[in-house]
Amino acid sequence: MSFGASSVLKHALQVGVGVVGGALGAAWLSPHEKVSLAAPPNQVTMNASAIAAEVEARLNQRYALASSQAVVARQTAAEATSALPAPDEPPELSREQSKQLLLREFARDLNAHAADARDPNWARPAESSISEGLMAAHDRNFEVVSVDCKTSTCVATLRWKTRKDAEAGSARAAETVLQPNCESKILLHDVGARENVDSPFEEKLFLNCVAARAE
Amino acid sequence: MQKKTRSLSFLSLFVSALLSFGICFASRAKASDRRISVAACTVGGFSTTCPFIDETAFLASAVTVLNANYGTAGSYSARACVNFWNTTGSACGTAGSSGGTGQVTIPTSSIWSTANTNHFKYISVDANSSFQGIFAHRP
Repeated sequence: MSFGASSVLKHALQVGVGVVGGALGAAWLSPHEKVSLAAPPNQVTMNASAIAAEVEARLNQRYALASSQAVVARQTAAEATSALPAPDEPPELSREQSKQLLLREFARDLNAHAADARDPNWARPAESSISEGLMAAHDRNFEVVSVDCKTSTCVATLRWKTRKDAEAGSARAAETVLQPNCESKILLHDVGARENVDSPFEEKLFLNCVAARAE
Repeated sequence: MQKKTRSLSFLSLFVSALLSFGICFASRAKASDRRISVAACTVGGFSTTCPFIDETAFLASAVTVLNANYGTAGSYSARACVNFWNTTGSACGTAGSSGGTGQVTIPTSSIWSTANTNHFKYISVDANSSFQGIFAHRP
């Protein structure tokens, strides 16, 4: 056990000496490093103690430079390590997991819309126009229950005779070109235990009109 | 002499890096175009939907130009859409308009972005007997 510890210590010391030696060597060879131990011509008459002091000062200067280079090297190595992909990438989501994620995103969009403030100057004409546009979709198989607009989003509640009709016609609702020109999204919720598959089915069409408002 | 050797090794390193760079980029696919004829589309009474084959060699997320072409000038609109792969539902981007010409420039940036990689892409256009097809370009 003690042999193992001393061996580790020995290796650590060797590495440490190597790093410092390397850094000092790099400082010595560095092309932008202009410090020289050769005395300038006008100081050739310096005494021994003055020369020793000068040497020590210049060595300290080199050590400081080597230390700063070592810090930069450590920072660069840390940055390079952080740029590497994480060893434990999240596994690919299953169909059910990704569906739940999509449904949560849709619910978040609807909640954000519900919590948003209403700009009546934009919302009122937008609601009328969207309602007319949806009803004018000639090949629609849905009824427009309501349209609610806020500041830059709208939600249209649509009703189909059955869920099967909704499955067949919900894409048409999303594709309908409306004014304002918004991005559209619709996701059909699963029929709950208390719902009848053949009973009328309602779903919300979410309209993101941020780009249209920015124009 | 040592300086010369160092210069030579640096030069060889530079040349090999340049060659590797060239080889890597030469193997990459070049910019390409795709044309989808109306014959591949489902023509409805009021709207027409065309499939977009979203494959590795021509990913929808890489498309920079997408337009719907009509034989006669008029006021048409079209939009890029997706059908969700994992649930019943769809989403569409903002609509593009022809503005009286025979061509609609369709915005794709958000709806066909990498965030929607797994969903099935298609294009919805105004139905018209002069509709010819879709043009897509990726760099």
